[in-house]
Order: sequence, then C-alpha cells, then structure tokens
Amino acid sequence: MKYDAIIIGSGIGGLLAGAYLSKIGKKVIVLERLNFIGGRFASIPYKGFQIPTGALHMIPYGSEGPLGKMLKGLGIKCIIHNSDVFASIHLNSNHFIAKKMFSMLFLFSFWEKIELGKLFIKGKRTKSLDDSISFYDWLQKDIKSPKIINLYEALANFAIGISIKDISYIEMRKILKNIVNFYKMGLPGVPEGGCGGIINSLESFIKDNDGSIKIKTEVVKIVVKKGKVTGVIACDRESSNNQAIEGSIVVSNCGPKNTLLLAGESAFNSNFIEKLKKTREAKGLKVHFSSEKSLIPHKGIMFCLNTERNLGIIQPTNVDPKLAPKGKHLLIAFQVLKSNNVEKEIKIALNHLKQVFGKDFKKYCEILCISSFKDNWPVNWVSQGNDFYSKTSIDGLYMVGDGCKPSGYPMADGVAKSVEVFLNNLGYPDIFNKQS
Amino acid sequence: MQIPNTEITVMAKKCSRCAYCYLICPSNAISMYCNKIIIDKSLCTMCKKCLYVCPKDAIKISSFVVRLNNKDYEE
Repeated sequence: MKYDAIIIGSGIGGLLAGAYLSKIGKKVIVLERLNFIGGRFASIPYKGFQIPTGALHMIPYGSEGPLGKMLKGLGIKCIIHNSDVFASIHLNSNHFIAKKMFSMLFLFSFWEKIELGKLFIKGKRTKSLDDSISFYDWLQKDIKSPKIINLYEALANFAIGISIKDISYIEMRKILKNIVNFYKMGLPGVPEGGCGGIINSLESFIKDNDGSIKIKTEVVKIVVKKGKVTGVIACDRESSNNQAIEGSIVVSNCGPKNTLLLAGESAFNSNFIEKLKKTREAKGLKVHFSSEKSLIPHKGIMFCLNTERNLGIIQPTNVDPKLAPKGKHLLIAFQVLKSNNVEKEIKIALNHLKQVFGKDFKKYCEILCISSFKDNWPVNWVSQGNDFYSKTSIDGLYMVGDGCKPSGYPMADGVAKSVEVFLNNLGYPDIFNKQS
Repeated sequence: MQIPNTEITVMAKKCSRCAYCYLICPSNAISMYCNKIIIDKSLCTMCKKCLYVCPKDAIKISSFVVRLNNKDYEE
C-alpha cells in the first residue's frame, strides 16, 4: 500500500498533522499501536467520568493559543472556555483569587512588592543569558521571598512538569512572556467535551478527508534507503502479521527515543544521538477524584503553594458538567514526580489534598484513580527547553509532539506548535491561518 | 487429564502505573495499589482490552498447561 504520508502515533500531534495533510489533499494513514486514539490527550470513560489519559482536559494558552488556532483553521467547532481568573492561590488555608493580573499584588506584603519591582527591572535588563543558567539560579540571587520563588516553582511544575532548577532562564522567560501577554493568546482553557472531544473531531476530520486511522497497529521499523525515508513496516498486534507500507513522508509522533530505535542509529547524525543521551523526560503524578460539592469556584488552576510539591488542582466540570455524572464534580490534581518512589509520591499527594480541602475531602471526595507518568510514558518526552527539531537528518522523516515543542510553548500548545513548524518545513507556512 | 489455560499478569518492572488498564477493564478485575497492579483471575474474562491499552507493554499473557491429576504447571 502506498500513501503520501504515514503518521506514527495518534497523539494530538499526529492527528493534527494528519488532519492538515489530509486537508491539502494528501493521502494519509495514522498508525496507532494502542486500542484507542489520542495518546496522552484522550479521555477514558470510567463510572460516568471522562478521565483524561494525560493532558488534564486543559490547553495552556486557551482558545487563542496555537492549538485553538489550528483547530479553527480546520473548521473544527470546539468551544474552549478560557480561565475566568488570572490566578488562584491556596496559601496557609486561605484561597486567594486574582481576577485580573493587577489584583495579584494583594497577595504580597510590602517588602515582597519591592522584591517584585526589583525582579521586573532585572527581567527587563536580562534579555539574553547563557542557556546553562537555570531560572532558579537567576531568581534566587536577588529574591529572598519564599512566596515569590514558590509561585514560579508551582507554575513551572504544573505547566511544564519540571522544577525551575531544571529550566533555563531564557526558556522560562519566553513562557512567562506568553502568559503575561495573555490578551494576545489566552489564559489556560478547558475544551467542551474535554480532551476526548477534540480527538473525536480530529478523527472525523481525517476520515472525512479520505484519511485512514488504524489502531492496534505497531510500527516496527522506519525504512530508510540512501538517507531517504521510503515507508514503514507495521505489525497488526492481533494477528502478528507484518505489512510494508510505502510513503514518501513519515511523521513520527512517538518521541525522539522511539524514532531513533525505529529508524536505526546509523541513519541519524551524531548530534541527534548525542543530544538524546543527555535528554531527560518530564515526570508527573495525577490524582483524579470526584466530589459531591464544588471545591474550586472558577475555571482556572488552583495552585497550592504551601504544599511540599506545589500541587495544582483543576475542576474541569466547571466548564463541562458532562465530564462527570450528574451532581458530581471531576477534580484533577497534578504534581511533579520528584523521585521514582511512586508509593511515597502518592502518599505526599493525598496528604496535600487532605491539607488543602480539610474535612470536605473526607466528607465529599472519592479517589477515582491515580496515574503516574514516567520513563517511556512520561509527561513530556523531552523536558521543556531541550526539545528536538521537527526536521530530522533523514530526508522525509519529521517529528511532531512533545519531544519537539518550540521554545516558549508548553504541553498541548507546544505540540500544536511543533505541527505548525512541521508544516512550515514541508512548505505550507500559512495553511493553519486559512479557514476551511 | 490436561487442559490448556492462559494467565494474564502485569509485569511490575515495566509498569509505569498510568492506570489505563484499571480504567478500561469492563469487569473491574484490576486493582491498583500504591506500588503494584493486580489482576483478579476470578473476575477476568480475558477480553484482552488491558493488553492493548498498556503503553508500556507491561501486560503479559502466558499460556500453560494444567495437569489436573498432580496439579503440576508447565510453561
């Protein structure tokens, strides 16, 4: 069988790439080794709840960010509700909500405001800096307030799944700039129907444009001849039959590490291999729980600053009540995995939740499931700021997804932006701006 | 007398504890503990949904023969 483009992996990156390629008339096939599509951007129904497989039903830059724009470019009608608060902070058993950016100042004491002023001036002066200097190193030289440092740490933990000690100043600056410029893009948003809603729309789009999506089909080899990709060998996991699929473009949405394994080391240049050795994934733990009582009164993220792991909690049922059975709320708490001892991390997370919600947690809440993301099924294949390029040294082989997020764009919006870069590389720079 | 049998298990070393198998199991045969996942063989219907939902290929089906006379197991 011959296709114009073969896409390995049906995550949000693979499906977006597939949708845009099928929009311009390319014959596309998406191959997924699991029995559901969407990867870490899908929903699994459980006891009437829509449990997200990864992305917390949340898009970092909301309706006007890269993902929102790319969905609009496909003509997909997906309503994304942006956060109705600028920030929500749980600190010392008080819940502080800042509706506007300016009202954030009420959170800080006089001396902290002075430190923030100093920080602002310092930030304006430091436009470029060596990549090796972490955001934490830059911050802690002049800032002594643990509240300010924790606030940045909580934001980095939730938005990119790593500590401010592990992200360069330059990368964090770009992300913060995008957050502060939220009037250009948007505050974090929750799509109606959650992650699953977007995935279903993309699936229909690809199928309506004569593309095909195959599940339980694992790519076992990317075929490269004379530095050029010619197709893949795919295995039907039920029958164990191998099949050769020809294609002049292969888009890998399965992470740089797996891309290397599939195409073979000899096909890549040494820079790619060296970079991969230094690459670290972002790890995290998610607690999904239900509550009979609404515990968060807005559509945004509640950051819990005085918890050991700076827990971030959202209640996506505030946007779409259908994500939970009638009368119940779905809540999702996320924390960075700071050790590989998942048992210990779970205990820390549950203690935090008891600490934050107090008696309400015992009275109204029920744990639905706890998921951890690490090793070969991480939060991000590559931690923010160390990403790979979409174009590889092999002719016709491209990567999309959370291993090649362009600078300044985290999580799902980083993935969408990687697809934008891929389409640029392919010679379709403005395709996402044209409404279908 | 010999009867063929199959067993489904989670390989703890490979498992990353994403909980997809627990969520997808239609017969609630999968229990999650802090550090391990256990499949209850008495509830499992061998629908194999968990096998294909696992991103880490941590779920294994092994076939073996049960000899009923001496309760001996063979791979």
